[in-house]
Amino acid sequence: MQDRISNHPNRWVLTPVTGETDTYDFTRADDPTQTGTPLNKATFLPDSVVTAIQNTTGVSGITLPADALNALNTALSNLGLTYNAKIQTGSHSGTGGTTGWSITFGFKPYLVIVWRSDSYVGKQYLYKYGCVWVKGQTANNSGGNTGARQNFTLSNSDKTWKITTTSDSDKAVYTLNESGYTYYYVGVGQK
Amino acid sequence: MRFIEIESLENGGHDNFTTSEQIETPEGYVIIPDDMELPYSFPFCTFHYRKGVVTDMSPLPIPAPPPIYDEPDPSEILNALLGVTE
Repeated sequence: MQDRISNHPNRWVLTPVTGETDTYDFTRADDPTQTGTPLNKATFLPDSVVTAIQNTTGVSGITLPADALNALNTALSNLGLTYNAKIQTGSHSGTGGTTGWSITFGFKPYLVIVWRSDSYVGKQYLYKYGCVWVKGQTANNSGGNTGARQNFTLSNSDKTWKITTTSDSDKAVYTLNESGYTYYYVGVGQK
Repeated sequence: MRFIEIESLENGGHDNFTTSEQIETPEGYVIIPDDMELPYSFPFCTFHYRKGVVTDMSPLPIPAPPPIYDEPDPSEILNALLGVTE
């Protein structure tokens, strides 16, 4: 679209209408150098565009630009084209508890990484200091031969992620919940 | 946002987490205001809340952690089986 550019903006000529009192014809006299794009139906919502949108979206009765935009938005939503990756970060202060802990996300996580606040240098067993979870994973047996060290569940329409353990000992260790430690997390998913 | 679970654990601690995103308060949790200073013993604390928001928080003694079974290094196990000594 183009703006109207003129030498005499807002200049009009008033011509009295013969036989009428206090009645005038307004004529623009602003001497434009660029007439600009007209503000009319053809500019905002021509019939050809209405037809195309109605054929594409299956929505009928489009008469205003808002109708057209709503129809397109609905069509995009139905196609799943409102996807955008979501990332959430945060932390958890360890409680020493034995029943695990949970994070509620604002979306459904597909990947969750948790790590303890101190350094990994010299450490050997990831399950004591962190975990990597991907959607569908129910357990992490990286601890070795004593059964699943970390178990994972989703609830709350798959927005709440929880870590627990089936280990008989060191439950707080395996669930990344040792008292006195802060555990950081990052979750990636889709709304 | 900071959340703390209303119900305490057996050892007096409260489950908790922070989040970078605005989310609805999970069931069973309340919000800790951003400008509220956490007690040194957090998450071992007592607190009051009103309308889903913590109004005050007091420290509790931090319980001693249970002894941890230190899993031996695999190489230590192998050396023990082989009778290898340092």
